[in-house]
Amino acid sequence: MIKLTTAEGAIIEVEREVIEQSGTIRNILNDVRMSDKPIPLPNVSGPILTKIIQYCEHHKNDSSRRQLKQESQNIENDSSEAAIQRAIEKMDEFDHNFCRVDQGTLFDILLAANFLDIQPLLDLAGYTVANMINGKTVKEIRDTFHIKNDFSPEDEERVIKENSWCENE
Amino acid sequence: MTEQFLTLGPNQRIEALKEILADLSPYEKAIAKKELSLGGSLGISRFDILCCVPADIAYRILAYLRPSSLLACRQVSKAWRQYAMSDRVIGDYVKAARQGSRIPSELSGTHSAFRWFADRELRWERARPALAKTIEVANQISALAVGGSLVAASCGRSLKVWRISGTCLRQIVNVRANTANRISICSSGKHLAYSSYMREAKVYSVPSGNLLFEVRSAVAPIDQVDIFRDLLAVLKRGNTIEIHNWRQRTLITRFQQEQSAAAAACAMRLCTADLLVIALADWSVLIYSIGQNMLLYRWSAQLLARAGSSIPSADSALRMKTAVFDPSSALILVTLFNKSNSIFLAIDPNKQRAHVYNYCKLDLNTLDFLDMHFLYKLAAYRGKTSSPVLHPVCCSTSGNHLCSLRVPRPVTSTSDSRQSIDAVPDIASTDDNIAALGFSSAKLITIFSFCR
Repeated sequence: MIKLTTAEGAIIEVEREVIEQSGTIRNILNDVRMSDKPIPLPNVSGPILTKIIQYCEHHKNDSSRRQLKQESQNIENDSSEAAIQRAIEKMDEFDHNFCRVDQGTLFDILLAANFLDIQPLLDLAGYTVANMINGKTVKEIRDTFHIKNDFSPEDEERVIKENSWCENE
Repeated sequence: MTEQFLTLGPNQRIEALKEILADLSPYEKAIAKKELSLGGSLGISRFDILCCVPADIAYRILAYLRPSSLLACRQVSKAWRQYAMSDRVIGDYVKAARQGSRIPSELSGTHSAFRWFADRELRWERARPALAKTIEVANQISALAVGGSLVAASCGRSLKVWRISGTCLRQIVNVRANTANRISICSSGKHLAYSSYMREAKVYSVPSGNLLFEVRSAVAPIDQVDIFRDLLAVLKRGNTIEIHNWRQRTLITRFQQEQSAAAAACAMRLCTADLLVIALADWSVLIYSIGQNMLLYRWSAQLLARAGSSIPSADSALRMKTAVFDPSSALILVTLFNKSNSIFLAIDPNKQRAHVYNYCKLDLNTLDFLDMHFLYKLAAYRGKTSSPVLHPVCCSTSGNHLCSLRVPRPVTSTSDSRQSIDAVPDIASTDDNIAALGFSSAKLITIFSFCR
């Protein structure tokens, strides 16, 4: 078992096999000899870490996913994109439910997945955000993400005009 | 208390914060408000996910977007605009699009055409040429053509062909021929057709240089010639079009356009084995199917009617047209321009519709060359200016345009150093990977290749 210290200082225990999906932890474990000392994760809060461990536990037997990763490392950059695509196709029910969270949590997951270097999770969360943007109008995007339109009227007119040529479908 | 707060989930935290805020005194509220607004984009009131995550993640998110949504993102806010227009996103996006792996089902025909151009544009913009060479020729250059890995030039009474392989340029054909006014290289790279001022059109094989087929015109000069596999299309002055099967040495069809000064055919291109696109001087585009023994009229686009009266047809004749069939979108992409206007069209031959993608005024004073494969700099796409401009390599107006191609100065292979890239080429031809610029008076040809 591996001990992890959350941002709040709480200690969470997790199987090594599960948490090794995180590149960051894997590297730490490879560098440092096994010890009982907990690994501090100052950027990851307890609830988020719990969620991430859930994710890792669900996917711990995903050998195909790891293979994909290795494949993509072997082959050149271009095909890793295809590998990501295949990973997206492989998303299951769990993944879809996993991402049914509010934006704050999604944001925390993105940051934590980035920090912990869990690429499939980063893809999953990134894809979820993209899906929140896809198909929306400009105003809907602003509303979804609570963004203030900071263009001046002239700028906005210019921007709209610039886009208009490819919207003649 | 802080510890307790941190153990809450993000939603609960927001609730807790709201509770705390509600209990504040007016003075404390003012302080809190100030603090939050100072926090900028991290403030709860303006939680903007794209701007709060590290840039790497933001790019990753954008790479998952459909093109239409990517465009929408550019209108959202300044920060989003910056992300959505960054070279990196466009690069990733185009890369993914080229593989066709990520977004294909959602892309309609027009979008893939758009992608096709963007892709091409990006290649020119980013790449450094693998080859940049200047060749000295003995005579004035009257026609230039590039295609596949070949560059063909008519210099005086000789027809020369070079092959580019990687970083090497090798002359493979040098035959005696009449001075050509137009050369067309077959996409297979094994044949080329040329028309000369001597009212003849010929097909040569490459690299042997054998004359395979010859057709003469009794009276009318031959203005245009185009070769596509077995087909040879010849446009004679007076709007006569002949389609030959040069391999079988048969005339498939001869077609006479209605003769009128305003509607003289000025450009012609075989798009596929059975599609012929003709541009008339009044800015209309005709599409024909090539049947067994005839030319079937398919459709015509009257651009004047579409673009309104804004195109002055009188000020100068239509100069040039590129017609390419994009197989992925099944659209014919056509570019037309004269000295002051240009139009980029995508024509759907089946639905008989055309999208005028783009109509622009050219600011360049003289666009005076014989043949050029037309590349758009999709400035609108890249968002640098509001009106698209010609790709630098297409402009033979001033050295500045050429310099902005970001290519290193070609090393002149001759001792004559007065000819540099800053000079204005008289004639040029480009395609996806190769640009050939001819300096007639200096008798030099500069070739850039982006093939690796």
